[in-house]
Amino acid sequence: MLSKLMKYEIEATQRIFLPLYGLILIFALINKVFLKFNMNNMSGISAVPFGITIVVYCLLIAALMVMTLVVTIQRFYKNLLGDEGYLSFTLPVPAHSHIDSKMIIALMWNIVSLFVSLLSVFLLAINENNISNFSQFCMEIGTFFSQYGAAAYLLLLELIVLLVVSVLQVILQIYAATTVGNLSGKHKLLTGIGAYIGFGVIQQIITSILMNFGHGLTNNWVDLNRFFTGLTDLQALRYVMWGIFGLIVNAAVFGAAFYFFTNWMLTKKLNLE
Amino acid sequence: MAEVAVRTTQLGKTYNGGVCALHDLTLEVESGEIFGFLGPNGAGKTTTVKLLTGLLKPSAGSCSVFGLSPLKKPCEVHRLCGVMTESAKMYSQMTGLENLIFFARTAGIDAEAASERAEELLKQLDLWDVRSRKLREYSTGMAQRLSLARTLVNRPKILFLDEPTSGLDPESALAVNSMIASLASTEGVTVFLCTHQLRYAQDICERYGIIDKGALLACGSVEALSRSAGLRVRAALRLRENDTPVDFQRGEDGWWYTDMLQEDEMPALIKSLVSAGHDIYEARIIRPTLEDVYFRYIQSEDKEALL
Repeated sequence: MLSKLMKYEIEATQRIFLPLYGLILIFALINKVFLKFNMNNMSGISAVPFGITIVVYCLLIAALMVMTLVVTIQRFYKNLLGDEGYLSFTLPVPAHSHIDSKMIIALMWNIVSLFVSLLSVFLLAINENNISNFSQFCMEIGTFFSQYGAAAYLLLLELIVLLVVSVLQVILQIYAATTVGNLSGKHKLLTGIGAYIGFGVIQQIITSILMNFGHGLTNNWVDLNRFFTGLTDLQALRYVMWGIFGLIVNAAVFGAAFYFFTNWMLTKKLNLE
Repeated sequence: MAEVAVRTTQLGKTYNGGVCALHDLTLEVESGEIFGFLGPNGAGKTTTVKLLTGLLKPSAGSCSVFGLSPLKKPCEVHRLCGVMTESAKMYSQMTGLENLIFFARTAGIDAEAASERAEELLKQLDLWDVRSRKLREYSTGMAQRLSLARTLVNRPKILFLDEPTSGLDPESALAVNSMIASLASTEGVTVFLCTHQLRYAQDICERYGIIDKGALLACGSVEALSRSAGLRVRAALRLRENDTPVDFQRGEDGWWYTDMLQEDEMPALIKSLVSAGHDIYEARIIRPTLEDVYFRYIQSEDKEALL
């Protein structure tokens, strides 16, 4: 059942994202061509085409960021709380299946959008002058992995997990805020924005309290810095990994809270007026 | 005793802002029955359907579908029912066939059976030729028929239909009505039909509920509602010109009319007129129609007296 819902989500959203990705990569390549052949000679009227394409490229990147957010919100609201809500909630599937499908596909598009943006910047920036620097950077990464072995791979895994969990937490926070906003009769958007900010404030307060508790162990940041200075690289790496693990747990706990809250709202407080 | 398909007990709904859309609704619909839920726009029909299908939470009272609470067991309720509300929109980026297959698959039907069922319904509802068009290219009537097809795709035990013939031409509306009546008679499907198109409702419904301003005014068959509303069976006679029977009123069409307590009085009435020397060319019994009953309740100033 989840796979069918996910397939429908992909079909409903790919027609927005795929053309945008294509345009971004095309304009990155166009700008690349301009940079390769005209960099030293561009002035006056000859710089206008490049000026236009680079502005278009920047606008497309901005549009991608905005559209990713808008589609994340719009798909949830329209399909579950808007016109299509009666279609979704008269299916013999539990509410959490709808949340799961939208959350997973939103995560996918968020990560693919990030990847496409980075790829376009890479295509734009890479040239004969800095490719050697890039190769050097890759070698240093390889050295890092061979030096620290399993710890380095674990760090990489943690960073990937942190990215995924953090994006999911934000998505679920949006969903939770949207369900709260839907309870309002006339001011759904404002209420939803207020709920999102409110959730963020609560999260910050709780996180600050927990971090202050942790700092109590070392008294202050100066002591913390001195503490790290006295460590070997591997020991410092391990403490960094523990720190990232803490961030993952923080994001996971709040993400789970938003998930269960959203599910509760959709099952107990559903009102498709 | 027949199984109860729908039961509501003092069901009520007040929206944010204090708008009371429904109050104190108590009724039962038996399994296999076609129940017409009639009322003007804004009467509370759609609200009732949404409450029964779990799309809204009641502010008061309770309801059940085949003994299941839409609040507590929404998935089980949705497996049993097909729902078509007035805003009959499906997924616009998919074709008609894709939409039906999607809903069939999410209802748990396997791929091959889903395709067969989709084909069957598209042909029944005269949509086979447009099955590959995106839904956004469908006309209102075609979208309405596709929505009905979606409602039927999982062979539900009960149908909640909110204005199913809205936007359809007369031929399509009759075809849809026939289909609904056939489902009830051959497959025992219960139908909870919300409409203000009385002509179509009278063709297929067995019992009716009349609702206005969120309150149920009356519930029963046309005959029972007629008696409650004080509407009587009438005898209509065409006599020789210039003939004037006693205790009859002449209509604009030249016929003579009189009220009867029941249809059984007609033979005696005819005999007495013939005995009195009147020549009767034609005789008819005119029964109150659903429209007569409906407007008597809706327009009555003193609705309390009729209950």
